[in-house]
Amino acid sequence: MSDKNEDYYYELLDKFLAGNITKQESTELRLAAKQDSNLQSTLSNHIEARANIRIAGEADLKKKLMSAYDDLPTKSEKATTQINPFVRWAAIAASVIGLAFGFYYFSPNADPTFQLANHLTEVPALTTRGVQANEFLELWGIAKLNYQNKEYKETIAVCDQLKAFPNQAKAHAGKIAIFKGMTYLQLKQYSAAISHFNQIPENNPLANDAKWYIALTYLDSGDIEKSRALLKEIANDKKHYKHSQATTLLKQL
Amino acid sequence: MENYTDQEIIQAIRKGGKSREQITHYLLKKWNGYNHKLAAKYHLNPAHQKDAYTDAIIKLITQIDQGSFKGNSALSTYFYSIFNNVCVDVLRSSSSNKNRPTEEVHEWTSVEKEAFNWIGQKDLLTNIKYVIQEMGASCKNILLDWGFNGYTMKEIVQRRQLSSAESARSMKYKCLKKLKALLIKNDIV
Repeated sequence: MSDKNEDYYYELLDKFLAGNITKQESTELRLAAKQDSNLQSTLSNHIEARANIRIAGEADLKKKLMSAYDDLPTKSEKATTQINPFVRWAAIAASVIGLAFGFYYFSPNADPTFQLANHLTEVPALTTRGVQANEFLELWGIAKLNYQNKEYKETIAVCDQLKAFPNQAKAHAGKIAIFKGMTYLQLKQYSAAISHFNQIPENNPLANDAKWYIALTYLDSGDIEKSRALLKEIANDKKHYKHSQATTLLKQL
Repeated sequence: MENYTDQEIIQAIRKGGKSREQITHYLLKKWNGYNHKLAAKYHLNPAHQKDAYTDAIIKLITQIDQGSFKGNSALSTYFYSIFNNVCVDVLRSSSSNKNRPTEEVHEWTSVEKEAFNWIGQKDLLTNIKYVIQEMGASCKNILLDWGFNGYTMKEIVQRRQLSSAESARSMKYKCLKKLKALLIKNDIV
């Protein structure tokens, strides 16, 4: 192995460590290392040297950030910022006007407007066990965080990654379908939402959730008649967990 | 404060140099809200809060730099998840090791482990032998400028007052060789 060759493989390895190596290059690197044990140990030495540089760099950056951190506003500083008296009175006046408006808007005689957000409940909770359970749960947690941050397209993308864990994905297919349906509903992609809710079979414990969400989807999309029919079914079913909410919504329609 | 998209932040970090330095400080300010939120959630004292928040920013920078962030979620969500895990780690270590002096353990990143695996070196049982601190400041600085901060050779010449890019390149080469020799020496001892 010549020195030139060695440098060439260091470059490939650096690309690997920066996550921008091509498939062809990574195959070349792998084959070369497998065929030459000297090269393999030289490359291991290179990885460890790069790790040393990374750790020293992180320690250096830590010092800089610790010092910059002291200039950040603390929570109490934020809260005690001096407010211009005029702004303060204007804010109070705006709050009073807002309260009056809110009272008019939400009083029973006011024109009722359907607010989807008031009816979408929490994302289903998951518990799972097994070798890959932690990674699966972590991904589910990221999807939930995305949903809570209203980053719905990212939520769908993360949910799609759950397929990488076939056993867990199969065991929680119903919850995943409900979650994706809720997300599509937030995105106003009504047909995709309904198709996900419809994946829940009648005998599944989540069938009641699915029925409720389909009614909400129709309502949000403006298809009042279809929504009314489903809401009636739910309102007439005293065992349905959304029985009373469905009755209230029906009165408002 | 100026607003950057996720893509712009990632590009600035991967580009390295000044743009990376600026964006790192921008992120520190931008996500300060998360800092207060999670510190309150985990009841962290100010010292632990500072430690956890800066650690989380550094972890994010390294993960972007090594290409571990695949863009499957918003960067803020990804950071929140890292920060959340760091807070749990800080809490766990502060509650279990109150009376024990902390010995710093340097761990491989997932990309480094993957690299070992890729070249067929599978028996990765040891922690990293941290020997770079045995080197002189000039060598260490050049290696950090090149290998961690991502400065170009031209910028390194200015930062370290060297005569030319060629001399910077040759110095970096020699220093890296020296570091590797130190690692081998440490292995034998």
